Amino acid sequence: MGKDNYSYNILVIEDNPSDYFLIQEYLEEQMDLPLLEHVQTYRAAVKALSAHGGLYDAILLDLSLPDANGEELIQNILEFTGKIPVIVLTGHTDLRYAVSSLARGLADYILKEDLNSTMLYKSIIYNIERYKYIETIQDSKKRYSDLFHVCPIPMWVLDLATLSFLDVNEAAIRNYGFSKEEFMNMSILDLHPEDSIGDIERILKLSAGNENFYFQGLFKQRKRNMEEIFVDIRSNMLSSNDKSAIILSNDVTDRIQHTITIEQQNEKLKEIAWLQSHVVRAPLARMMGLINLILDADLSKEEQKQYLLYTLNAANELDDIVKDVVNKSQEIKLNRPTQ
Amino acid sequence: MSLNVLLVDDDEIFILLSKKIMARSDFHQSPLSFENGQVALQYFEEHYSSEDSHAIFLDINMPVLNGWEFLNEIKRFANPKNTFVIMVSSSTDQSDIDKASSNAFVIQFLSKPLMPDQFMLLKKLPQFSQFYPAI
Repeated sequence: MGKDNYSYNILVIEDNPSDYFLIQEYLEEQMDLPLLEHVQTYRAAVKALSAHGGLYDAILLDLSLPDANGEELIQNILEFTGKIPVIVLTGHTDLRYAVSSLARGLADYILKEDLNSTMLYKSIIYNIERYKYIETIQDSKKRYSDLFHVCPIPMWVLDLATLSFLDVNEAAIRNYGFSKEEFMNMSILDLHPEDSIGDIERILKLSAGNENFYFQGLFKQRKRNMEEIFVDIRSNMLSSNDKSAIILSNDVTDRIQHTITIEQQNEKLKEIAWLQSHVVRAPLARMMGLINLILDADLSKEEQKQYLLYTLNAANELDDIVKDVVNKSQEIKLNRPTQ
Repeated sequence: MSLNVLLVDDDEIFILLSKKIMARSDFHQSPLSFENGQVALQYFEEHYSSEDSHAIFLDINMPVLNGWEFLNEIKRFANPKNTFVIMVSSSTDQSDIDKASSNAFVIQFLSKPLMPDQFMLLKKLPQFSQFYPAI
């Protein structure tokens, strides 16, 4: 197998010249052209990292430097290294610091007496790849998290066992007026007026044990300021363990209010239509009958006058009814939604 | 055997006009009139006879006992074979017409005002023609 021809940029923090020489030897055995930067103190390391920290593919760190050592050195260096893998080269005395630092972001440690060319090379390329992979995962995690948090429709993740909120997005905080902290101390039932709690419990019962449970429905909820809103709720089970659900709550209050207004107008229109057909027709029918009689028959002057008076009464009655229709029509105009 | 005619309507002008036109078209010279379903029912139940024929001109919208309630009440004692109801309304809802057509007593649904030619047609109906031998 030939040498690795990628030019690795490696910062070597090592105050012992012979150790550095050894490292250089080992690396050149495996790599065509390693680009090594050698510093001997913590101070110099910080300077190098601040100047061009993003350049390095990996950092090799000796744990006993003249100006720093041990656990403290690891922690301080890690603050500057970010996404670059740091591999500690250590003797037995500092081994325990190296081991305990693995959990806090140290990539690897190698005992100096075990050090050889293949092991060093393997640790470097293995950790470079591992860090790239971790970054990809973190990016994708962040993308999904952003998708949830910046989604313009209020959303939350609900723990189905306790009914508490596991996460809420910005839109939910904005729409309901509760802070994130308040949400985290609330139950979903706190959003619902008493009369709809039965519905919620019924739905939760249906969802129990059903990992494909999907729900959609219209609910009345309450904001922090007790204002009642109508929301179109959609929920999906979040994971296959059916313990939590992601819930989308679309505020449709304006739409519902609009519908209510239109329904009220429809009622008024129906009333007018009824007036037209029933009430208007009554005096009109009377007038028609009276006029027919006046025209047709041989009536005495007295009778004629009497029937004309009846006709006039009916006409007045009709006039009142028409005024009533006009008033009712104007009420509709006044109630027209403002949008 | 004779024909009794009852006019049931809360509109007194309608009663007056109908009486005039009934007389003029020789449908009936002395129809009895009632201002609501309740008083009409009281009279009809007391004077109902199975030998005579009864023509009832019935308004739908009335206070106390409306047309539909009246129809429901007379089921107790009257027979559709000699009791003929003509529903009369100033407006005609299709729902009212449908409701009337399924009632055994109702033979016609007429819109106000009643006109002489409507009575001419009524006289030719099999239920009434026996009372008008001249035509």
